[in-house]
Amino acid sequence: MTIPGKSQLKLLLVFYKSTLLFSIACGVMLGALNLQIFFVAFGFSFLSAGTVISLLYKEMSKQHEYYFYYNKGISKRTLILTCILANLAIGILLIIIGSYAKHS
Amino acid sequence: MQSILEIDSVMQSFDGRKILSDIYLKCETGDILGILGRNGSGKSILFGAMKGDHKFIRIDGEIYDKPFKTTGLVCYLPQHSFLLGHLTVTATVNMYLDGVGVDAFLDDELLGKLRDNKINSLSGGESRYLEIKLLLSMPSKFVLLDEPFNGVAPVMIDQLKTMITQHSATKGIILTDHDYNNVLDIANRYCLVYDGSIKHIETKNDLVRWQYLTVNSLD
Repeated sequence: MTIPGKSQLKLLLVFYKSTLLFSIACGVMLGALNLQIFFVAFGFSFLSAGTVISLLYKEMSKQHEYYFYYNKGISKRTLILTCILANLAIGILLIIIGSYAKHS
Repeated sequence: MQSILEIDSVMQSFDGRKILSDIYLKCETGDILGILGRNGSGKSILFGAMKGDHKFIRIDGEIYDKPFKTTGLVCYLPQHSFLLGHLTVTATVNMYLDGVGVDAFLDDELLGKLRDNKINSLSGGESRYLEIKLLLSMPSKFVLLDEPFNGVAPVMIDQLKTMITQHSATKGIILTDHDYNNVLDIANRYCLVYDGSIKHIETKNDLVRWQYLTVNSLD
């Protein structure tokens, strides 16, 4: 896997930002069910259902947008992997923060 | 510098029906290669193969598994708009051209008026014009245009044809469109996808011979 250049990183960020709406919405919905463990529930939902739903939405209604990135040398696989890894990192961080806050 | 794109041994079948059979295609810098074919003849599959779905793409003698991953080789215009609706025209151009020559790019009768507009507020024709101009302005050796004139007003089609012809001096361009007259106007080589194979076309009479046109449409 080649290391993306500055312009490609910018495009990866544009793609990632476009998936955030569904991820955050999923996180808030599950988190609101139990405010005592909001961060843990938010983080878990953000990295699981949120990721799946936002990528499914892209696949079903915005599939042609992948060519926007393709023409700049970024494959669909790279975009999806970036989204999964970023959500995983943010989700795990939120779960750790939530667990720490609950026990302190 | 002269470049050559070759695609070889393209084969495809669905439910036992042969769509494409052992196709070889070559495009060089300076070529505008027009590909014609009836609906369902396999043009889109052929385009997909050229953009990297196929394993036997050779550019300047080197075989590429994923040609798009190497910057400056192949750009692809799909049938439907690929631009991101939430970005403005200027932001899109900035992103695609890496900030180089953006003002010159937007110094255009049509795009100059639209520079602050969001992509999702553009008409189909405006969006198509922007996409084609962007792809032709990129430093790629080959540009694949799938139905570039679809939904575009005649006056804009003329501008696009001029633009494509100008850029063919430094690129190889392969295009397909159902409006065959526009393809025939600008292409300097033509071929027809017929019965799973490629037929090279010299005159409009060949299009009748291979049942793409009727005799009446030659009038």
